[in-house]
Amino acid sequence: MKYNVVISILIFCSLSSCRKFVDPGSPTTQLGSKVIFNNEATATGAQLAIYAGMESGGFVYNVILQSGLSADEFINYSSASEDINFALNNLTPDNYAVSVSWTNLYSFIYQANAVLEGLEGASNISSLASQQLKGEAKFVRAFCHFYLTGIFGDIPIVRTTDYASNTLLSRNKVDDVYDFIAEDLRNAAELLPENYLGGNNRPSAQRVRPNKWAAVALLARVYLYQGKWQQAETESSKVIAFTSLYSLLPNPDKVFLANSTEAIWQLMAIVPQINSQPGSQLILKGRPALVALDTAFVNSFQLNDSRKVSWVNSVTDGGFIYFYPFKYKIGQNVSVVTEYTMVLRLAEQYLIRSEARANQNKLSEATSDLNIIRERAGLAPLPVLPLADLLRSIQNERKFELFTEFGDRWLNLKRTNTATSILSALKGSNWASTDQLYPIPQSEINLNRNLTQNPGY
Amino acid sequence: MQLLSNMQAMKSYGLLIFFLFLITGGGWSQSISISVDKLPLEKVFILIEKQSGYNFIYSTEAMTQSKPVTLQVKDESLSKVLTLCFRDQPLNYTTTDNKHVIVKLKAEEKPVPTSRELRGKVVNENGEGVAGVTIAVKGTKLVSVSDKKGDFIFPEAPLLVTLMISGAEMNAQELYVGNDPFAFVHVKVKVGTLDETMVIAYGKVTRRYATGTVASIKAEEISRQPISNPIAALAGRISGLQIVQRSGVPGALVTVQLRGQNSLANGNDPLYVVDGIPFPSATLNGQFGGGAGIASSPFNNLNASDIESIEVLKDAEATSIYGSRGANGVILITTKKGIQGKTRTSIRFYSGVGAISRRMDLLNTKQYLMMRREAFANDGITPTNSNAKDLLLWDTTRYTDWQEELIGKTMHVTELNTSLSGGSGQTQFLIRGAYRKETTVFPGNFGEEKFSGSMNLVHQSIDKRFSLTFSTLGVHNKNILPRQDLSSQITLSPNAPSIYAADGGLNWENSTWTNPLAGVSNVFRSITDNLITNISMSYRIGRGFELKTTGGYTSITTKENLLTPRSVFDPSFGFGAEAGFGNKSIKTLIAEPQLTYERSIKKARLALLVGSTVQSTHQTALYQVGLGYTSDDLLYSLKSASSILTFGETDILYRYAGVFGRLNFDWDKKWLLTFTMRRDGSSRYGTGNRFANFGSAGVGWIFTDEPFLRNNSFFSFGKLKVTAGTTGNDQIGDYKYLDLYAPGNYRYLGNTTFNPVQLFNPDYGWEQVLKREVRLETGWLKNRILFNAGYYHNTTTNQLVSYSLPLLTGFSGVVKNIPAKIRNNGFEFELNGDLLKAKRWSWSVSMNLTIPKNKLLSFEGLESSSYSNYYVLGQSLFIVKSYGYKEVDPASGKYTFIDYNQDNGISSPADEQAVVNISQTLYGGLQSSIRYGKLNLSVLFQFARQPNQQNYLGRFSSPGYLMNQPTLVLDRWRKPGDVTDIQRFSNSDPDAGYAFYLYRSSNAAYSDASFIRLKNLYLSYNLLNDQLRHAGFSDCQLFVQGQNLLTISRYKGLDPETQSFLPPIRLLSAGVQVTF
Repeated sequence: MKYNVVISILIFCSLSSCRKFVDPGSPTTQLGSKVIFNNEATATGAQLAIYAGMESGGFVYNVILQSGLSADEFINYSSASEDINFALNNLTPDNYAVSVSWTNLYSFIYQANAVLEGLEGASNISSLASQQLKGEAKFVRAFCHFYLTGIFGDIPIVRTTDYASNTLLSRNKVDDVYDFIAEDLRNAAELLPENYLGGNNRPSAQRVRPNKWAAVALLARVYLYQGKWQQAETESSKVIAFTSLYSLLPNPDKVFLANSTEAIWQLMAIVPQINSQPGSQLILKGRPALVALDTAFVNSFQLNDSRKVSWVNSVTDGGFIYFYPFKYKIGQNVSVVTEYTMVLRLAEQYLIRSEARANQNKLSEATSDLNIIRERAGLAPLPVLPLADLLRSIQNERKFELFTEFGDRWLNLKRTNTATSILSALKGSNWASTDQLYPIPQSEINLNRNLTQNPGY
Repeated sequence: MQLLSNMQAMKSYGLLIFFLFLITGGGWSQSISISVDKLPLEKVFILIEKQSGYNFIYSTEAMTQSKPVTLQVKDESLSKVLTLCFRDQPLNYTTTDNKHVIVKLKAEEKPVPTSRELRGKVVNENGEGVAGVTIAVKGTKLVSVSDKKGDFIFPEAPLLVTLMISGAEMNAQELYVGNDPFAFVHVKVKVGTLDETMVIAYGKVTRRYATGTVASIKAEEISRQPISNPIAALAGRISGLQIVQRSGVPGALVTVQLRGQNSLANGNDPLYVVDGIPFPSATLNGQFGGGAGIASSPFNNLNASDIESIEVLKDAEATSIYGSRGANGVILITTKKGIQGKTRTSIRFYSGVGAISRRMDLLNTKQYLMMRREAFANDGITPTNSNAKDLLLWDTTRYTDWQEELIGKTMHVTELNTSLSGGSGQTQFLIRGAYRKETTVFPGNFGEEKFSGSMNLVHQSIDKRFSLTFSTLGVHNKNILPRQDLSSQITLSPNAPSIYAADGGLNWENSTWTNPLAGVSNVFRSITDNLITNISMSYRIGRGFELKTTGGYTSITTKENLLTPRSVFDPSFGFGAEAGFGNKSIKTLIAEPQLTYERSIKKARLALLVGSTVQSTHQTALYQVGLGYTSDDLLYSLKSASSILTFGETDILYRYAGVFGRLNFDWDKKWLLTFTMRRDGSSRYGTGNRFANFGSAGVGWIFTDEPFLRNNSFFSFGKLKVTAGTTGNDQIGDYKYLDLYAPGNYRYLGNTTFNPVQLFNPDYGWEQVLKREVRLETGWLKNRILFNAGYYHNTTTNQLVSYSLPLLTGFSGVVKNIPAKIRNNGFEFELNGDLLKAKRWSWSVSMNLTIPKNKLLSFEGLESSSYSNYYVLGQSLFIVKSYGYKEVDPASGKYTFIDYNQDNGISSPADEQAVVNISQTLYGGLQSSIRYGKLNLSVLFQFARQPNQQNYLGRFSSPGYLMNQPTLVLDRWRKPGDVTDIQRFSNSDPDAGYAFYLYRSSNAAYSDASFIRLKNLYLSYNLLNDQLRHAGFSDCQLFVQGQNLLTISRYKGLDPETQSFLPPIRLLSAGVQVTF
């Protein structure tokens, strides 16, 4: 009997110590999400991680490179069939580079949703900081959906981190995606302050966290894409009117400097040895490894356009001249940071407003907006033209002002339904109108039976 | 004199014996110089001993009567010196062959004894006595037979004895004993396969009485193969075990699967246990992924020749005592132990050369240019500098065989193993040291160097109640490989530019190509140190109780460097150099106290084992990259980088605890019953799910011991057994139940950034594998032929997997249980036959064959799961849903496919309905050994029937692109009406390009990859003769080894086993092995 008692006690003790033994606690180099969102600095770190991911991952460069090849900005020099297929508009659903954009953007969306959900239960964070972070997260979520729909057309809207429901999402119509984006941006504009904040959530001269105007500026663009001319005009006007922060720089050479007065939102240079992503990848020192600017595009600049002088450069190698974008002047192996990757800038707001006004038949106001951009480029102002000509001029101006910036050219060709007429002339039989949308990555379709493929793939 | 003739004989064996001379030192110095004045004889003896290596044997009484010696000699022979020393002494002396000088008083001189008593003991490899062995004294009629304990005695044996040992279950052998009065004779006796001892979980068992299914290979079989990775030695030898060598580079991953794939997604590795301590099965390579495009195998950090045996535990009875870790089988690796007896030195050395075992037939320049021109003509496009640099910018008369240039070099391998062992009945020791170097077939200085050392100590108290085993082994492995597998570049155009420019530097041909040799300076170096230490102590309390405790510690650390110098890139791109640095360490501590009880009452025998396990594994890793180097020569230095980025950091604790028990009950050695149970706790599960129970039962019936079959020499052994039980799997990674954030690689605005680590699931629980088996084991003709047949039937439920998710969820997967049920069943056959056994001849054959089946039995909600496009209910897990290839349209010359959904277009997944089964349907091996006199030949064939594997297409683009092609594309479509299976050549026709994309994802991308491979050939010649035996040798042989000498396969690609990686190496080596 005595033995039984002793044995029972022994068994009990060993079992309970066993329970403790196999509890490893938390890993020492990581933090639980509850801890992260219970502290302002770490919660802010969770949001800033998204920008760090955008700047350091392939996302920025991929969008610029791929859409530049798909449109008419770049000539391909790579022998990798994945790159060749962008230039030939011959993408296949297993193209790895296509899936990278998809993956990057959706993982940023996950992070933004995780911030939004993490802040819901957080009690230790000031409501001001919480509001700021929620605003940023919504902005990022909208921004990423904007590029996803721009690249792939109909896409699933992802509102939560719940994988169980997300894994079965089907594609939402482009119009619904834009409505969702606009809604997020309106919320973000309300939540975000007018000035820029630093890493400590205090006002800062660094324009590398989106503020209210970043949300408004992107909203203006979304309304433009939706053809909501009046709203587009209203929103872009708000940004243009906020002259205490934003003004066009007379010298195009200075536009892409860090925190230039034209910058509405930039990504901070954080990768060692480089400044901006586009600068580090696109500036050539010899024959290109991947791409060079299309000579036809370079030759299509008007005489006297100071942007051709400031923003295009060339290198001669083996008797051939190769052009490259020179908006960013700093290439690789540089340790002093003077340039940031530009995401949103004021010049585009003028072009948005110009187009929005033109479509509301405010032709002279539209022309004056357009001329602001032309004059900065050293070009003569245009007279007030008939609507169709004016719209063509605005598109033309976008082409020269915003080339190799976040796929603006490619997205606008598609938005204005001019992709087929312009590109089929250049690309011949390789072009099909279904090439406007990239294929949904095959691996995604394989894992989610509700996803459908775009036509033509 | 005899010694001298011995020496002459030895000289003829050349180098080998030279070794021996070096090791035994200057003992053969025959010239003696002494200058003494009235020195006591005893001291003179010491001087002579030092110079001659001879030992004097004498009594103290003899010395007291001796006179001091005055002597001056220079460079005199031993016999002369001895004559002088004993000139006026009252002493006589005799010298013996084993270098003794026996000194005796003249007065007591008796007739020299011509005989003496000789005792001995016959022990097997495990040091256990063997009965019934016949021992004869050579040259006489004296014969003795060993008793139950293995002891034998010759009351009157002559001097200078050579024993001839023979027995029913062993090869006859001879052993020189000399004059040793008590000759402890260690004889290596082969016991019959049935009675070989095998290591099992927490114990040992013989095959005859085992209820679990265990397969085993011994050191001898491992040593026949010139391999570095001991796991690779299992290939083709064990039924139910699939071993796939993934690449021909040194150290490359070997995948191991026992009895099929139990888990849908991951965690299909067996549990590996080295001397009682779990060893990691996952690669040690971290974020750089490994060299030559493939991860390395952790087992490469063991020395194959340190291993005494590898046991593979297969069924429930053998594995369920490992509970949560036994689901995929258990592989026990046991290292060598010291052997009682005289101190022995063994040396084994070999060296060889090798090259890749298979090549592809690719187009030559003429054919290639014809293909390209035809492609442009077909497309109606004019070649330009940008789309046809091979036709317009490159020299069209060049021809380079890129297979020869990039993977065609001869590689070298050299291995040296040494060991020293010995000990008394109470304490035995073994010390081993080894070196191995293996280079690669790539251009450049690549390869692997491995140093290893180990020590093993066994001690028993005099009363044999207490025993202790201590062993420790260390391996230092340095592996240097190019980052890329250069076999991926063999598709370069045959007229691609020359590698070197006129100035000797790499040629970039005006930046029109990527020089494949640039990749050679993209070096991946890993240095791994592996230390395994364990101690095992047992004490027999009495009354059948024994207490045992084992404890162990392993430490594996890997340091990795990935160099990306500027020379990797075309200089005109202006890229900077960078260097990656990785450090990883895994340290495991384990303790396992056990109590056993054994009792026999009449015909019943009961054995009980209870024990517990506590294990703690701490894994840390740090990965950094240095940027902004000013010189390519400083890339091993992190300090020289102008900026440093930390991009990986882990600090993981894995803890594991369990209690287990096993009950064996035998009745009359005829009925064998075993029950096991285990309760396990693992830190890999969330709070409520950490503990689980596992158990098994097995019954065996040796029906040949029933009266109706007893003592039947034709049907000599028969056992039927049935086992069933459960096991689990915790190979899911750590902390998967936590919602975690980790610091990001970059700071932003001065803040540390935090990224979510994973999708988490706090609720996942244990997956269970139910294993069942029926097995018949038989022995025929006095067990000369053994034949076993088994049927296994394993089902896995509550699948715990890293569930694949579409990336739009933010991650690629989450750990969770899914309601899927998988069945792995199959037949295993083993045949072992000693077909011929004569004095000069012997021939044995062993063969194994496995017919595996795999089936997805049920999967609730498969249609709505991530796996709906991968698996089909009722089919194997090894299927691919692909497009159905129809033909090359004779009109358009393009590939066409079956339009399953009849929508006039081919799209995924609707038209990916052609199900291709890619599983192996049969595999096994055939081994045969033939001995003729002193020659021994052994061959091992490995074979597999795998009707469908990914063929060459994965390596190639659409024919007509700027890339070389296999010659089989010459059979392409050329004009309307042509009927063929290769579509028209095209460079840029989008339809042809898309058709090729579909083709590569269609069932045409899979083809027969069955193969028969002469995996190993081993030929040895035994040099041992009486003279060598007298000189102290117990083993001396020359051998030739060949690996992967011949592969027969219809596979369309490089190699049916490694497929998209470097083919296995065809290796031929020669060497010597001596023991003395």
